[in-house]
Amino acid sequence: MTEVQKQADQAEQKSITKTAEAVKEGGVIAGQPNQEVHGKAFELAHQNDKTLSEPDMIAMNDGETVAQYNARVAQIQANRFGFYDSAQEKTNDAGSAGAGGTKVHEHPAKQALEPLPVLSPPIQKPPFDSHVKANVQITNVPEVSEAVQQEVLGQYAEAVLENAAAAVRQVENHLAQPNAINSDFQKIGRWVSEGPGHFAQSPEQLNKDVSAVATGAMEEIDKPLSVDERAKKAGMLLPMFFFEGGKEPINPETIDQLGLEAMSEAELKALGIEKRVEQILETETGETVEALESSEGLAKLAKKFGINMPPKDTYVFAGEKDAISAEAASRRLGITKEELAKLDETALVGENLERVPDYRDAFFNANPGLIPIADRLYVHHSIPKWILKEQPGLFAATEINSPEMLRGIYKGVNDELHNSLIHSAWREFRKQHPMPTRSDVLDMVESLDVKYGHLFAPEEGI
Amino acid sequence: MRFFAIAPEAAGDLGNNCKHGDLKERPVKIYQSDFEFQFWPHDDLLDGFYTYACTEEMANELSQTSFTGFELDNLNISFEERFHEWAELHKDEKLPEFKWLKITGRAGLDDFGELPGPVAKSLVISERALQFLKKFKLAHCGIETYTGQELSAAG
Repeated sequence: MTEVQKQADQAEQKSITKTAEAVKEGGVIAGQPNQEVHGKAFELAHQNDKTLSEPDMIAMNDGETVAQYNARVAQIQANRFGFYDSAQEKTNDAGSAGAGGTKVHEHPAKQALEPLPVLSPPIQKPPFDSHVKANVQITNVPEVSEAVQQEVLGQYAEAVLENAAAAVRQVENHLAQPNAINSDFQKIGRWVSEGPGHFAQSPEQLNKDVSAVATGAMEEIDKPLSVDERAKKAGMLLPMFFFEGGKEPINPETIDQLGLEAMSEAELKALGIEKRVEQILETETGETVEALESSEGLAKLAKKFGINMPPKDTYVFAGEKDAISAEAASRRLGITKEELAKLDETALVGENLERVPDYRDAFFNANPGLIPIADRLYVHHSIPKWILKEQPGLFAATEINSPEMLRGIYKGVNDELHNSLIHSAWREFRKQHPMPTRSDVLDMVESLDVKYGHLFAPEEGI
Repeated sequence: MRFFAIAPEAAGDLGNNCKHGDLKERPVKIYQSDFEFQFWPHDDLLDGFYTYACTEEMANELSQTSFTGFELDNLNISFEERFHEWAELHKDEKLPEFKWLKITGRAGLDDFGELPGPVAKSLVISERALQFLKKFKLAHCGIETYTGQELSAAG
């Protein structure tokens, strides 16, 4: 063996010796430090263990039956070491101090850009006072609510419609009465807040008051306004609420919060609140009052909205859905308008033609109280016009265009909602019923009246 | 693949210049479009009774996809006599340009398919087509899981 080899062997032996000593000093379980650590860990791990000598294993509790005692002992014996059983835990947030109300989100936010790792059980369990546990609960994106489903949107829409309709219902209901302009003395008396003796002044006093209300509405509506402006102006049609003696009306949110719309006058008085419509009366002018004092005056007002009193005649050719003017019909028949007007029913049938009152005119003639708000209402055919084209003979054009089959729809709040809900319902009906019967159609009309009739003007199906 | 039966916003109807087949058939065959707007549309995909209209923006993006079962064409439009009453509420808006989305596929097989027979929601689209459409306005579109038969390419 060379000197070099001897030196190498000695160095190797020295190295091996050093390793063995290190193991002996730090890694052997029998070492004193390890024994102490192990002992402490054992003590902590088994501090809740149950043994047969424990008091709650051998003593019966007060009032405990033998069966209950046996069951309790059996339960302890079955899990003597107190192993965690997730099935026994009701919620994750019933932890120690500070854990009340803490919720562990086991799923990442739905909008998370990347899926988050699953949380380990120790992290999900209380206590939550560890900063480590607090940190792992932070996700990388804020939780955003799910997109609104159409069904939910529909429910929301209905709620909005109901609220909106309820807001204008009071005045419009009044105006929608067949004889509103000459009736409901006491109500009008309350509106103008001038006491019962007010109407004793002259026989025309009521008509003047109603005219003022209706004309005020008309004047406000008749101006070229934006949708928002118009919506604000519509507020002038509403009963307004004031704190007693106050000049500024109570804002709509407060009205809603306090439920003032639903309160009686006595309840309002108890709250020191007055209900007035005086703003409407501010628009009164002699000229407009005069306009509503007679049927001629009402017709004049109607004309402003393109409504004819009495309704003008229109014509519907068999198998077509739209009514056309007398001029257009006479041109198609190659006769004069006067000759067309003289044709009787039999002659018209011979020409495959029906004479029907203009449906919009017919609706407002049947509901004169709605004339002042005519440009806020869309006149809707409760039986859709396509029935005339697709199912000729199933309904007469006169039926479909009769006032009984027409509905007033508030435009402002129904731009999206009415169109979506009612048209979608009819579209699905139409696709499902290539050959509907009269009762199929009338049942559908009734079902929609029941569902949405409370939103129409006047109300239907209530 | 999952499929969905949808009912786009019914904003239109067959106009007087529409050339169509038997109106008692389902689906009704449309040879020449005339989408008659009945009210102001709010969605990017509309139903005019077996005439489907999509905004030009949607059409442009659709044409870039590999979806099956549809063709795009120019759409003739008209307006219902009282349409102006609804348009007045949208004075500051411009009616979008629309294209005719012709459905040529089979329901449950192609990305776009029309179900034959009298069914409420006759337009059936694939899940991936639905995901695509959801990038656009579909607030008034009824959507249901299609529970009918999923077809194989062999039929």
